[in-house]
Amino acid sequence: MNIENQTEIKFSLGSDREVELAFAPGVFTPNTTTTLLIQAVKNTLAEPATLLDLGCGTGVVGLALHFQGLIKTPLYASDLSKPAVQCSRVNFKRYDCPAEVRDGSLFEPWQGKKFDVIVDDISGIAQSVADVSPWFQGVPCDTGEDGVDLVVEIIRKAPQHLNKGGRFYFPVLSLSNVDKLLQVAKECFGTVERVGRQDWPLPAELKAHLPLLRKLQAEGSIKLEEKFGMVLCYTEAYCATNPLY
Amino acid sequence: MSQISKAEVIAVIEKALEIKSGQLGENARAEEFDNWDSVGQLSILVALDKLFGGKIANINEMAEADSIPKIIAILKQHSLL
Repeated sequence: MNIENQTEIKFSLGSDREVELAFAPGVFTPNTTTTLLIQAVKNTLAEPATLLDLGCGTGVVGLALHFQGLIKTPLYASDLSKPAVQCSRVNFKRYDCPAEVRDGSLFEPWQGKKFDVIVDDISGIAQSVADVSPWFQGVPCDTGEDGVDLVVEIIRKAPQHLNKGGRFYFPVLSLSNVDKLLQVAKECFGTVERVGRQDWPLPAELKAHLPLLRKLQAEGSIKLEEKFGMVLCYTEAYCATNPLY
Repeated sequence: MSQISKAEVIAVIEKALEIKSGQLGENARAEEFDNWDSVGQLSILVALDKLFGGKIANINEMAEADSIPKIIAILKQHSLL
């Protein structure tokens, strides 16, 4: 399969493993959120499960969990980006991970399908922050003024795609309206538990836009902390269970 | 004067960076270690802040202290070592 402008990237899965991944323009680069989600699922999932990697990008989340023996194959994965779907298929094949990969938006490819575990690697940041950030080069980020539109929609639809006793993992970035996201999650799930957190310094490219960021913080759209001479953000991973509908 | 030693500080930094004990020399610099990036720097400062009972949080120059000598110098300047 020829993927246009395919390259390779390396990603560390921790002290024990590094993977080499097929990558291309329009595919989201794995980052801190990816690592946090992988760790959160590893720490809380006791046995193999049917799993949907939603917003799979390179497929690295599903791969990492497959290496841990946590997937009842095939792994299911999807992404809006066709290059991401293509790269994921290459990566799953490369690492002998049986997988079914579909393209489409959010849960559209999975009508009528249910899973034991859904890992949502789709997050968002406030639109005006995304516009000046280095993270969305060629990758869509249409997540609304407070960065939560996509994740809210995913949280609301996730219960329909979970088997009984299923788990839904999702990330929350402090460059979005965290309180609103968690409020929606609690409206949809009986239990919403934080299962990971990583603080990180604001990148230099965003420090140049501090007046904008402070304005957004004052409006409640994002959260920042100033400490150690740094401007700090955070990513948290949550596990939601017991859907309320 | 603080009872915390330079060796303890280095040990805490090693742990923060998930580096094996003894690998961080007294002249170590960030560029020598993959884990000592901006997130690593934050991990170091969080760990040192805990070690020194919250006294690191407001030392702004720590953000740019990308080597053991620089960290030690700042701690001495603030009478923490």
